[in-house]
Amino acid sequence: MIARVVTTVIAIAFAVVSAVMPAWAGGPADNPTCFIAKKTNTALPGTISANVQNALTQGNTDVDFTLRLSGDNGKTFTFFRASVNMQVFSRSNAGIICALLFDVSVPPAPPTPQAALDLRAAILSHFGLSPTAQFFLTSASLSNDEVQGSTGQWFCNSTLTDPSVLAGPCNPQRGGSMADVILYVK
Amino acid sequence: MNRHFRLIAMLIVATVSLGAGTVEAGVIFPINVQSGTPNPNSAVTVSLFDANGQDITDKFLPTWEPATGGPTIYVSFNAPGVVPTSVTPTLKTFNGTPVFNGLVNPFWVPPTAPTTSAYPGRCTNYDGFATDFGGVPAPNSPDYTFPDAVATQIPGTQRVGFRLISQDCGGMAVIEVTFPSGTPAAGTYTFVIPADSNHNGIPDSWEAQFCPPTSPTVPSSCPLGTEDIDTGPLSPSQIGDGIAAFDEYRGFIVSGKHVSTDPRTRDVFVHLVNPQCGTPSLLGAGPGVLAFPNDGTGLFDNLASLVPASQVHLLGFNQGQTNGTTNEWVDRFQSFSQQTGFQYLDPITNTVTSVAPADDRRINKNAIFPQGTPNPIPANGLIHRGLRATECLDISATGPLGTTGLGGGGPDGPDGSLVYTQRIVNYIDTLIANGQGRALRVFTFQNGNWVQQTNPNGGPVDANYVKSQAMKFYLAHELSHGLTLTPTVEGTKTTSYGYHHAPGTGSVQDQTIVQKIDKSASGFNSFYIPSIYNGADQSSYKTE
Repeated sequence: MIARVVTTVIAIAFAVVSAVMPAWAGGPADNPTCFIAKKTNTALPGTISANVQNALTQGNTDVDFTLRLSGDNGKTFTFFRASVNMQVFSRSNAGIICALLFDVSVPPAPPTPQAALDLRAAILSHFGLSPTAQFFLTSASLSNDEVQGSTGQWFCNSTLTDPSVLAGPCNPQRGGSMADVILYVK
Repeated sequence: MNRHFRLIAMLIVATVSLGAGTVEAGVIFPINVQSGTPNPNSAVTVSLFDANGQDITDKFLPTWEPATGGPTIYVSFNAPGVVPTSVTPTLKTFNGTPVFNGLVNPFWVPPTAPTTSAYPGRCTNYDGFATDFGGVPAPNSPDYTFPDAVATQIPGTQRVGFRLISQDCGGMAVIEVTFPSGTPAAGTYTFVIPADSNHNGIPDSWEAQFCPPTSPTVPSSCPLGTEDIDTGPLSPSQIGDGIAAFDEYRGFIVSGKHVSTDPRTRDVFVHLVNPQCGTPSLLGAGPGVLAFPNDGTGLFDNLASLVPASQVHLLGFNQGQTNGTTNEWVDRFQSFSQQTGFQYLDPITNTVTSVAPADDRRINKNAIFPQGTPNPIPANGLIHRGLRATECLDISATGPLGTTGLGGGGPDGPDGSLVYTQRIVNYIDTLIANGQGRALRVFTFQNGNWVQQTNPNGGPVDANYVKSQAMKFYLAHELSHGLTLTPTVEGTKTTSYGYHHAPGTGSVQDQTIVQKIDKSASGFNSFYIPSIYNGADQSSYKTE
């Protein structure tokens, strides 16, 4: 049973209405691509964890994701897992999730990681959603982040993180974190 | 006839004036070798002439250039009643191996008599290379050559002199000459060239300009040469830039040219690597290839609004071309890719590593008074670094558009800035497409207002113009993270901008550029792209 979010249903088609659009220069909100202004009818609440082999590299690193999502408004949960090689440095939590669940490569960019595509398909299939549906976040989708730095990001780096903690939890290359999440689907 | 007479009279006046000027030119007095004090009553002095016969005694500063080497000057003795060709001066050189302990200049420690300097390498940042004029100097070789046993006529003059050829960016020549007994000037004289009254290794003429008196009783603000007291551009600011006054005087090779930096103002050294993660570079790939900015402005112009342009030194930079490693700093860079991250060559193990060797980006390898972070090899002196910006063409993700690595402490931290130029281009293309054909406008923040821009080369405000401004924004933004901007987290816990200003303040350190699309289809697609830094940025950036 898919939780139906009781909100006024508004088409989220891109509206050109004096929109002020951020173009992030790295940083906590590094231009997350899957942000929407308003919730959709279909919500998947749950928890997401991310664990990295190297949080300090500015390039890509292997990230192990575990998602625990509910399609019945929290009554039951299902686990989903994926390991994706991707960039987490200087990316916000939302930016990382968008890369995992939303972004689609357009040639000549390298193909979207198959593990990410498989994850998306598995979630949609499990909850009986259209295989062409997409995942979105609102600005309130992430909560209760396990914050390691001072600015709300999962993984420590000095673009985002209080330098005073660099010698502490941010120092090891390997790292992991969690947050509650509400994914919106349409 | 009268007219002809007047013309001759004018020429005579001019000649006398010129002669008077020549007479008034300064001379270099010999020193007391124990005290180092010049003797202004000496009967024998030295004048310096350039290869064109111009008296340069008051303004000669030794230098050396990779392309041309050092200038040849003439040392001419002023000795009344003595035939100048009757003497044979010698270049006094250091006996033994000099020790550079970072505390004293080993070539002049009174009461020990001074000797001609033999500073390491050619310049503070530069060793000299086989392809340079003169190649690599031998260890402990004097910073001058003094080849003539007999004085020769100085071109353009009636005087004779001995050639003195600089082999270093800021060397000190010590010349000893003995006039035979029976002559009015009989005796042995020691001259330090250029004149250096307080024997700190910095010539008097340069010191007078760049180390001005701090009070009527303190004639120099850098009497020891070890001082690092740069400030600015706004007050308050961090004091010092990690380079001692002497090493600033000696100077650096910057994109192939010698530059002495100003010890009063903080300097930043930057090197661009373009491209990595593919080709061609979007910041310069040679003639005929589109590169940003393409509006006639400079790629680093925005950074120059934080650190004045004269204090931003682009090492090994070829405008409009690709740039890899450079020999103008210690460069351990090997490559960057999304898959491997930064890769460096470890100089000790000669293996490739993802951990930057301690001396990577070092710009003070040959400093006499090195400052900065501890060196794992203490004898090699403290390490001061510049900033590296690397262009990456990766598009495996759409963001981030730039990153800067683990920092703290300005350039001396292990920073490495990345600018994802193709992502920037793609992103701007997306934003332009979102405007659905609306005319483009670009605004920058100037004097408290957003001001609409025009293309300085007369071209349209088109997609490439927008990308040009964005490219300059992101590059400067990331580099200034390497200067510890912003020093504190801004915003609140719920709306954090990290180490950025909030979007829209108008500073290059804003977290975003901002786009605004007019509702009307006949309206505009406007980009608000900061190009300057605010006063807080200018006060708080760190250079060491």
